[in-house]
Amino acid sequence: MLKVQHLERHNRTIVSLLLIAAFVWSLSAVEWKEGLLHTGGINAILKIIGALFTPDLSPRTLQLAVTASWRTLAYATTGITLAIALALPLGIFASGVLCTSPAVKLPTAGFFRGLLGLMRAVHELVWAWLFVAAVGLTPFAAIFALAIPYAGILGRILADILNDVPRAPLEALRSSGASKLQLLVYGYLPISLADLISYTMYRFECAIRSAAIMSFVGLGGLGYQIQISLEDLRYHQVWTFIYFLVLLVILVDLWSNQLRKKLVT
Amino acid sequence: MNLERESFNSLKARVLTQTRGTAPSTLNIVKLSAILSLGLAAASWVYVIAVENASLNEFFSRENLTYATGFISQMLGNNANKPAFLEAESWRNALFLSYETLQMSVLAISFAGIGMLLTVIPAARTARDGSLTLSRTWYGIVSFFLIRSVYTLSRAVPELIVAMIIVFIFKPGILPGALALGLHNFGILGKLCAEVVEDIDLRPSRALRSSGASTAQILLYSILPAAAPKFLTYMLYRWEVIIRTTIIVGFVGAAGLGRQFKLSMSWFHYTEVTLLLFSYLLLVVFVDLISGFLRRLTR
Amino acid sequence: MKALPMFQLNGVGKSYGMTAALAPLSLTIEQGETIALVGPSGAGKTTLLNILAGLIKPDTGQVKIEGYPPAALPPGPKRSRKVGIMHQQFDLIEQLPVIHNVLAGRLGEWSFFRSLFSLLVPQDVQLARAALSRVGIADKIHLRTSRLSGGEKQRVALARLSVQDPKAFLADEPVSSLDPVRAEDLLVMLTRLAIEENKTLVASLHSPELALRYFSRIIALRNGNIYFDRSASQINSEELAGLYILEKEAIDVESAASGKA
Repeated sequence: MLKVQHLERHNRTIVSLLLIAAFVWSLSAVEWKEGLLHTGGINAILKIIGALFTPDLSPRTLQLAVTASWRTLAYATTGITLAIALALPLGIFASGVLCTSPAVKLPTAGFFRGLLGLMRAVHELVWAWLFVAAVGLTPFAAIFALAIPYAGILGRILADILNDVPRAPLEALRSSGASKLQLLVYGYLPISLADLISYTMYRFECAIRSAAIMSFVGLGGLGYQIQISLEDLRYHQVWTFIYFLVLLVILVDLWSNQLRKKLVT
Repeated sequence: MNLERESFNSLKARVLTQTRGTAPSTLNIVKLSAILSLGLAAASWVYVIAVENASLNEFFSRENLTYATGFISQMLGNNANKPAFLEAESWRNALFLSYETLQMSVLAISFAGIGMLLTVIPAARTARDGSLTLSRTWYGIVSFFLIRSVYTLSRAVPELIVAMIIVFIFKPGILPGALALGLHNFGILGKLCAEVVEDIDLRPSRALRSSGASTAQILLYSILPAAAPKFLTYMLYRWEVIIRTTIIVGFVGAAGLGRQFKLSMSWFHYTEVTLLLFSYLLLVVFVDLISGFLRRLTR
Repeated sequence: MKALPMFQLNGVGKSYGMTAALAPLSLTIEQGETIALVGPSGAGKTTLLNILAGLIKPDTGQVKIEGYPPAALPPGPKRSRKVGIMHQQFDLIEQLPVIHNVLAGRLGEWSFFRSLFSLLVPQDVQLARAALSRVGIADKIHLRTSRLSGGEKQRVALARLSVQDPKAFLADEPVSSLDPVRAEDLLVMLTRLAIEENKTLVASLHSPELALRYFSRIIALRNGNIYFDRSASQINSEELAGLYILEKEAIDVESAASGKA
């Protein structure tokens, strides 16, 4: 027992040393000699920070910000709804709860877990770019680009939650004659619904940020407005749009916190 | 990515403890949320289809199928003289870029971690009301709100947008990318870790105080040792997320795989894109493995 | 023509690893009997019930459920029409309203789409309401099950069993988590339901007094063996007391035996 503790202590020290070494190694990658800042970089940073407290609040900008916020919100919502629709079947297959024999369960669950892993390994913006390169920028390209990695994450969580469902109530349902599919809708899903909803709400908040950066492949919305204001060096406007994005994220965060409190208790 | 679940569970546990004791009141917020989310979903789909002219038929049209198959076959190196993923030189380049990207991710999580460590104590609710260090001060209250709003702001702004601003100031390279990633993750890490501090058992600190320890000594001997394992877990978890995002900040001029990805895309060097994507996936898997290993080592 | 016995056990034994949970025993249970399984914990009551329910396979011997071997009654409607079982932890889906937990007893009879539809528009509401009023909680029909007390949850489990309408009710310690008053209430309901609908009832109980009061036949188990098996009217209290005292002696005898060997 003492020996194990000793080893653990040792491990912690090793990990701490490793982390410090990694930090030093990563610092070595920075090219310090040639100067880090653009000429005029300091000037720019001062201007940007100066604008922080004086965002552009003219009616035109505000109107632009409101429509852009709605656009970002709409794409985040469509993306996450499609993600849920994809995650439900994929997650259920990945959990293997519908399989009866382990001979079928292991390969199918493994396959779907792998598929979900691949979907979420690639960042949504990379998906977006691949779609744009393949078929051009259409609304559905953006929605699918958002939905694929989010379905990967949600599906994985769904599979994990389903696997954690307590067995006894399910056995009781089985003994009253329920089939595998009936077990799913009367047992697995109702038991895990609250967890699923609160996790999906948390992901919805992330989806708003993701929808905003879809501007990089040309999708309109808050990210797009921030980008063009930056290019035109209108820093006051940049902050207006950033504040709208922050507000949107905070609102969703508050909503999901309130809902979570109710659902979990 | 297991941590996703772990942090979620701890969040759930927190909510449970916070709301314990409140009477199970009406289901109203649940119903309201259901209506609100259905309404939002309906409005969004109507908007996207009616105003933005999204069409699933068009997206899955025969034309697009031809484009997509063409794109994929180009990525696989059809009608290219020599696919990049078969050239040793391109591989060497991709591996170097992966190495650079890995360095950027480590630098980013270091920045986020150092920033978090410097601010996390005053950001804990228990520090604000004085129960953590057993001393309540006005500057404690002010710094709590100040740090928390910085966390919220940096958490809400996506990495890519931070990166767009930062490349205005810094020359392209690893540093601006790492700063952008670090700033965003600083906010997330700060929030998560402040909650860890809030959950710490306060009895050991009180014992130390009664034996004459100063506030700094309480921090060093009681609070940090209790919180450190969770901090490390969260940092590793965020590192796994950061490695997926490094490619994104590369798009706007930071170094690494992302920048090369952007260049190859704009020159239509699609076999190079394939190679870069493959390296990116390898890197993601590699970091997941390392992070999992480190986590097991400290458990 | 005489009806087939509800359960017929012939040399049925079950062991987990080295320990024998149930020594090979033979037993016949006729239709319509109400039987209490009594005995100290670890005597094999739960194992016997699970074997009757077809949930676990015995290592030796044959089981016949109304003449059929359990293998001929796969999980699903075929089995759920023969036997239904309720457990001591109620095993309800706490997140669903009471009505769906009661109607879950119909799942064996329903198609998948009907059961899915029922979650939106409950089917056979009258049936559920009737079952709930028989156990005295018709007013809780639309409540979330997690809001109910332990006694109410056990009644919901009983209502589910009556909606499932199997030929035999099996109940594993149905009252062990209830206070004495509620326990008696539930036993009254359970036995009345069984007798009125002419069901076979096999319930395991901790308390011999309750067993004597509400059941027609008592089967006492000790260390996986049948200690006695006779009608309730023929049992005197010394015998019952002996069941629990003997447990200690049995252990002494066993350890003495193993000491010799």
